[in-house]
Amino acid sequence: LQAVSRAISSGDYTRALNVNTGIRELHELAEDLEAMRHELVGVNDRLEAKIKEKEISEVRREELQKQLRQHQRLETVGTLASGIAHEINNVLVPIILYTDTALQDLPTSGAPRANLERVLAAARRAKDVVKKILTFSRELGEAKLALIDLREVVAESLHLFSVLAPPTIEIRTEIDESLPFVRADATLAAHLLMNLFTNAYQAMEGAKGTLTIGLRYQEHPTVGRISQPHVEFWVSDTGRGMDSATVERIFEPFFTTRSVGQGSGLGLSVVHGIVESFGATITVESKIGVGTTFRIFFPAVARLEVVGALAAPVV
Amino acid sequence: MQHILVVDDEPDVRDSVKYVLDRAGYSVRTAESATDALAELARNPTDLVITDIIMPQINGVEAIESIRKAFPSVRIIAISGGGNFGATEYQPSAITTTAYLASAEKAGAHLVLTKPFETFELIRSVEHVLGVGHA
Repeated sequence: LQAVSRAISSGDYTRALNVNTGIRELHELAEDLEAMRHELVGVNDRLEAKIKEKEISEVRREELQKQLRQHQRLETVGTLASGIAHEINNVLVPIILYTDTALQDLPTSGAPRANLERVLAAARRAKDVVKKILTFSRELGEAKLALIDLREVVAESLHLFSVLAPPTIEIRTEIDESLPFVRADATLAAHLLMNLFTNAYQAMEGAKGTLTIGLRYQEHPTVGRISQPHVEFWVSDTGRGMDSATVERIFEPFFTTRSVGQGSGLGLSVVHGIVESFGATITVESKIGVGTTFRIFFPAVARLEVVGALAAPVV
Repeated sequence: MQHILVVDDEPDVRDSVKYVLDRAGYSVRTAESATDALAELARNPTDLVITDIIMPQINGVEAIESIRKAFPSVRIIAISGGGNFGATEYQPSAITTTAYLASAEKAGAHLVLTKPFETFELIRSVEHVLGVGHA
């Protein structure tokens, strides 16, 4: 009894008391002590749970702050980029108009014509780049949000991608059989998926690898700021992975880890712009040498809303 | 001959548009601001105004509203290069090309065109708004 009492007083609540004693008072004392030990064990467990809870909320807070920082930076870059896009569009007007009219005055063959045709082609390429920048900064004029079944978009994009992907890459799917509708533009969603598939395949550098594509319904997601029911779409690759500094800048326009001429650095900015236009959220997890996972959380549309929308189509 | 007024604060834009339309057989004048455009409209007969939307002082949308009111027979084409400018003196409520062009249409523009456009797009748009065969 004495040994156990000392153990308890020194903080060891694991040793049970042997209350098998003949003296009544001692027996009662031992029972009291045992009750006290039980209570202490309970308090200890509750404290441990509280500390753990606090640690989790700390991690969550840090994650939210990181997302907020990234969002603010992207907004600034977006405003800046679209201001530049406006200027470039103005500059392209005289380039295209004067070149085109000069071509009309030139003979059908010869070096000046060939050169001016290249100028015109270059100006049109610049026009396309500007269009991509404006997509990033939420200039999605053609986005027509409707209720769509993401499984159909994934199936179509996957079909197209499987034709383009080299046979060294294994494609796996983990798709839930029944999913709620989401609000998105099917064409833009397909464009976004193709961008992510291409990115994943390029991260594997043509080597052997596995690309996993998933779709599932998350009634109570626990990632970042997402708490409403969502349809989660993810693309995982077993590529080279990225460090945290790269992950943090991955959606910035013109940010690329590829060498010059291999990529514009606009693909993932466009992905980000499209995701935002759907009111969805995108996250990235990556580990060097292991691979990268992009997750998009689309707010799920409630059944009641779907019935209403079918009566009056959403445009 | 039909008379066109091109309004843009960018000299290269208004000059190149004028050049193309001159060649197409129109009589073209230019103005560098909405204020100049309104004065020019009061001075000379005009069939069509091609106006930029994002301009200092009076923006294109306000200009279109004024033109529709004072010169209801004048046809209007709005042009914009887009860009998200946030809350600036230009058009705080409209922050995208689509929004700019939509507000231009709402204000009474007969057609909207996104910059940069091709020569044939410009000429076809002008023919369309003025009525094909009238050029």
